[in-house]
Amino acid sequence: MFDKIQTIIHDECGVAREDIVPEADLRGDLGIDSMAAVNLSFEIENAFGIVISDEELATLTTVADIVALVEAKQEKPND
Amino acid sequence: MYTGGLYGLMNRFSWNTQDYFAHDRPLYICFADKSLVAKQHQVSLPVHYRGSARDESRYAYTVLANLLRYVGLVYRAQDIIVSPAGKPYHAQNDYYFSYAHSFGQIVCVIGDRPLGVDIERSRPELMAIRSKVLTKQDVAQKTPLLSAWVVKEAYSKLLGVGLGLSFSRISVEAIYQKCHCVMGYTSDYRWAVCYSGRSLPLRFVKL
Repeated sequence: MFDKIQTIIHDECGVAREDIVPEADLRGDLGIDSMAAVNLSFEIENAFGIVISDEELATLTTVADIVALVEAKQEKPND
Repeated sequence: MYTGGLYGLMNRFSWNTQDYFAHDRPLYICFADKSLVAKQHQVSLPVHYRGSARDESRYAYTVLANLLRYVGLVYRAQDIIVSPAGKPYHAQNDYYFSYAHSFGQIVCVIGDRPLGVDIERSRPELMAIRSKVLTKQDVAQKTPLLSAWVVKEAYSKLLGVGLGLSFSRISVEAIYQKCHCVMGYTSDYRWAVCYSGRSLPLRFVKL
């Protein structure tokens, strides 16, 4: 799960893989701005077959947050 | 302290914070290239700031300090705190500010009321997320995608909701009904400022 998300972040945002660690802050550490964040959520939705609401997107601060959200949605696909 | 033109004359009176608010001041906005800002004396960053070395937003505080000095106010890093949604602001609301950056262009705006600013240039990912940005009304009104983005991003900063504003559910027209919005162009960029209250002039300040 983490590896796949790491790859998506690397491919979409141009961030070095070694910088994409669970505790990395999306904006502060990885330089992902609002537009890149929306695009990233779009790609994650497509990659995992899930839907990320705008409210959920607003809560994603770190890479670990993304992993946790995707895992939660895959455990409960109807949420 | 900058002393050019009319604003230079006005700055000689060194307004205190109350003077700044008392006379219905315009909004002051400054655009600067990162390379130019990097040559300025860099100010202390707020304690909440945790950007990496490549994060361009660090330069925004230098631009902010210059803008404040221009109107006779003083920047102090310890005055800047951040809301739970990540919006930085002055702890006592002595002034309001917002900043944005995009590919080396920094913009900062200050005023006596809540405001938000954004600057952006066309990027491939913007087309990819078009459906998440435009409402049906935006499409019907042929609102340019980049314009819609900067207006909605500026509005979300005005509200201080971070990514919590659902861009695909509020049209640019609706935002115009809720606040004042000024939009403009600079070289390859488009920018927008949204603010509450009555209409105010926008004064451009050179770094």
